[in-house]
Amino acid sequence: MNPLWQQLVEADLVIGDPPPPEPAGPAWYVHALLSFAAWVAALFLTIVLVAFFRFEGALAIGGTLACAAGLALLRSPSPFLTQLGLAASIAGQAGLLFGLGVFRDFNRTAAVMAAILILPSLLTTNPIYRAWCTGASILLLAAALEQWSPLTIAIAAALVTFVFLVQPQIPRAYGYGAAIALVAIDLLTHFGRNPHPQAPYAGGLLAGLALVYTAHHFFGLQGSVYAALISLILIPAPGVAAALLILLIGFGCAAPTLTGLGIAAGLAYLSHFYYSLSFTLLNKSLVLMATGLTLLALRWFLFPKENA
Amino acid sequence: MSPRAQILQWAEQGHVHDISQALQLAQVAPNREKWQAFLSRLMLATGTLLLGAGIIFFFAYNWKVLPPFARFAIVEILLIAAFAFAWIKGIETAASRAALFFAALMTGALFALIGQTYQMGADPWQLFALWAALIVPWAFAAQKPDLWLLTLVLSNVALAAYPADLACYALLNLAAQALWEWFAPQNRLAPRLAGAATALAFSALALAQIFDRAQPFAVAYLLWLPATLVIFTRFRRDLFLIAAALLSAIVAITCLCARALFRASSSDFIFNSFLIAVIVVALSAASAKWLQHLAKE
Repeated sequence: MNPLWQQLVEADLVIGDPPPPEPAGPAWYVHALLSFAAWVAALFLTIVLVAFFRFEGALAIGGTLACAAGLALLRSPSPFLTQLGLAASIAGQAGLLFGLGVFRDFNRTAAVMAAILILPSLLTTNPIYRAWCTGASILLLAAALEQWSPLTIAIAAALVTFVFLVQPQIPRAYGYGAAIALVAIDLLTHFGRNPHPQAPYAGGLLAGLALVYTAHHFFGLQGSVYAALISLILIPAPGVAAALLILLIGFGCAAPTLTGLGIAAGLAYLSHFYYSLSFTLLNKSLVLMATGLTLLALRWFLFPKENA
Repeated sequence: MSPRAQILQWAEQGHVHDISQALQLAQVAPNREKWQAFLSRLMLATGTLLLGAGIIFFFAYNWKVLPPFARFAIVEILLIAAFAFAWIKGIETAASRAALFFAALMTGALFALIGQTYQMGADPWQLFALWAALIVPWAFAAQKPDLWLLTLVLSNVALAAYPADLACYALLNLAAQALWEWFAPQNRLAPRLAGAATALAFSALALAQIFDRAQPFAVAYLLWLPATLVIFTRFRRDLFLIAAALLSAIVAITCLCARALFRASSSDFIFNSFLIAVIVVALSAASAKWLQHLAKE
């Protein structure tokens, strides 16, 4: 018997015989390569769809059919057919979005599409497609809410914490999709159509709440108090709080890809926070300096051995 | 398969009741000591970076309330204090290396402040190039990749501000990657980041050649791609760098096919688009299959 399975049986974490061994899934960079390529192929397939079904109603039907065909192909054991299914399904979603009239009524169509995307994400076991549908759904909702898009930070942050901490039986791909969306929402807010969000502090507050919950999950009451202190300072800089949240969950749940995403998100946010129009450079510098000093002081206070 | 991947696979199949506990039992999830080490490093790195960035933002604001003398005094005192801290504590400690990184950030703030105050007419690329050159000795002293990575980023920014030819980016990042592979191959993060930047630069060279025949980059790309695949498949197995090279090849081949197909027959627009999509799908599926095969070896 597999020694790891035996160890889990003794700890009463599993019951019975181990399931037959299955090959390990691809590494994250293979998923990244497949995702990027599927996205490029989907762009060309979308051109085919739009050129073939020229009217909105027909395009909506064609998009739905492509999406369904793609979902069927995703079940195939052949890597070529799986990848074709991924590209066809993403192209079908784009066709459906255009067919529903995204150019006539952007907000309504984006909101409807965000709701529709939940269905295909539940109908597949492909991790890339699950992550894609989750991330795209949250980002479409953020685009639909326009100035109120920072509120979707709550949805993304809640989904990441729910998948990794509250219900870890749920496939992690949903959590990865939500984490990517969490990072992207802020970019959307600053570089999107509305650089002046209605609730500039909402994003930071909501990301901070998720950070406090995560700290409580891993370290108890004391951790949540420190996290609350850091979150309060970071309210004007929601991207830093989101990056810290992703970093903590990634490390605590043994998800190194998420840890890497957290580091990349933090650095990317810092470089574009400079150009954010919601606050003056003086305010931004004070927020960053206060957070930096608080973190260094906390380290000094909490880990005296490390300073020796 | 690693214990982590195995537990996650069993969990997805619905066999594990408590994944967190299972990961802890297999010593995959962090214990108290690992958490402490991680939080200590996270607080030090994030605190140093945010403090440094905050000070740079502060001087970029150009607050008129502070006279120039006070501004220079603040930056120079911080720079000297960081050096003194690293000197006294010794370079072996994480706090000293963080202090040296902070000093490197303050060097940039000082140059920016000189440019802001005296308006010498220097170009931005000179600021970044000088900044990168001056922190090289500290990077040698720190003996860790973080300051070298900062040097590489600043050198790339200097090239972007110049603005330099695409080949310069490719050569710079390739040289950095080669030096890392030669002198410090154990820590894979730095050579992988440099390798990814190299792949990006060579991909840009290939695209320049494909869409502008006057550019003489095809030979350079055709030397780099097979060399990278052979080196990291046969001599130093690194699937990440192979994946980066394969992705670059997919982009280059797709663009080449798109150019050839759309130039040859603009009337078959729908068929050509479909054909390109199939080519991308086939190339990426074959690449993933090969990477999976290499991972099993």
